[in-house]
Amino acid sequence: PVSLLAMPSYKLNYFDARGLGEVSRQLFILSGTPYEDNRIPKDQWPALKEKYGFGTLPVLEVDGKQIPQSLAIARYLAKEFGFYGANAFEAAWVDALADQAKDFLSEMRPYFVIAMGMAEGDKDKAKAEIALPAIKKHFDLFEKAAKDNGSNGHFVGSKLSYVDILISEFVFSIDSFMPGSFDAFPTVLAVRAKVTSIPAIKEWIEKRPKTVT
Amino acid sequence: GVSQATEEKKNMSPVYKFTYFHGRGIGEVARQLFFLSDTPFEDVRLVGEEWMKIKDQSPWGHLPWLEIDGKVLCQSFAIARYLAIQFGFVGKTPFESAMVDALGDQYKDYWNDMKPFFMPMYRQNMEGMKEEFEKKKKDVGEPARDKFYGILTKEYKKNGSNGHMVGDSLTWIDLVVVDHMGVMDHYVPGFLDGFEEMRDLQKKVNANPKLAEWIKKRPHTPQ
Repeated sequence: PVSLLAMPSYKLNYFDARGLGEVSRQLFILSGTPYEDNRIPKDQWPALKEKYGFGTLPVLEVDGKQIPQSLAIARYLAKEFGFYGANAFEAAWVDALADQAKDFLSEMRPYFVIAMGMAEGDKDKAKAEIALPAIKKHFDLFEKAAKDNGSNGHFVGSKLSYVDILISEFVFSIDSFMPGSFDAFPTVLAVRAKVTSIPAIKEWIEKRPKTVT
Repeated sequence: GVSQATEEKKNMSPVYKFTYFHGRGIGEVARQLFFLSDTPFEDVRLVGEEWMKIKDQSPWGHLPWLEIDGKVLCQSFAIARYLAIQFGFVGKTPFESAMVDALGDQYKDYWNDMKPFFMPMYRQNMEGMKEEFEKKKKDVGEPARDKFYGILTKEYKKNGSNGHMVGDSLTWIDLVVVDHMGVMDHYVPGFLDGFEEMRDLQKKVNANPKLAEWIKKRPHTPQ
């Protein structure tokens, strides 16, 4: 048995959003690890920016020591809690898919800023010219990865890894802007179904703060 | 006997094949990790039209990719991290590895910020490009530089200005940052002057004898 006193104290600092922080929250929940879910209101952020080494969120504090960057955090926790593949090669594939997912987000960004009203633009044009091509390009790859892995509800190996959660959350967010966007990727949707069927995750999704992103 | 053990070890060593452009870019760190660890690898460099010809048949449609005994791995930093773990360039604790990762991702964010400046930078000596180069340098390059190199300076000082970004051993982020500084020194001399801690990192990392040997013998490309 692990003594509670031996466990580090964890504090996840992020905005009140799912975004790039959500994967780490779910890793805490899946592993049954207590953590402080510190959600910083957007208007307080400018004054607090200085506190955080890279000037960005999320930042994980482990016994007060800061780790910035969403995927560095997710990987650190995934390693701690056992959601990082069964060997080094699987771990590298998990990382590769996660980096590909982040590239996908970067390519979607110009669409998001228009869709969320943060920039001028024709939403339908942005969807056709930016979002749909980006989804096709990246999700063809994710679909193939899930299929090549045996269509077992995971992108890599035979156990849940952090990239299953990461991509599932992106699917959820984008589907809320553009319903049906992932109908052409059933094996990806099966990964999401498997993640969200885990009782602890199902419960979290029901009770977590409802945010736009 | 001894020869049997040697044969077994040879058979256990993976066969590495690394495919990238004929350039340094985000592929160079993997090559450096192979060389620094005395690990043989096939260094495939695509030139001219070669990439466009094979792009649609390539594993993920982009470069680099690594083959390990024929098994494919894509994404530059997943490759770098995998090799760095095999060869011992990820720091000494999970926390150190996480900081190396965080700096790697911050480098990627910086790269994305710099993208609008890179093309005019590469083309600055072409007819009529000078004005665009100067404008993008001021509007894009300098703010992105100040933000990223500010972070690097802070972290380097926090780590004791000991020749490494993280801990007290060479990690893959040292290699990434210092190689990139070389690219910027080539295209925009003076761009990084004033970042004295980063000049210190650059000097100390480039003094690594094995790395210095690679830099001398590798194919010479501006970036």
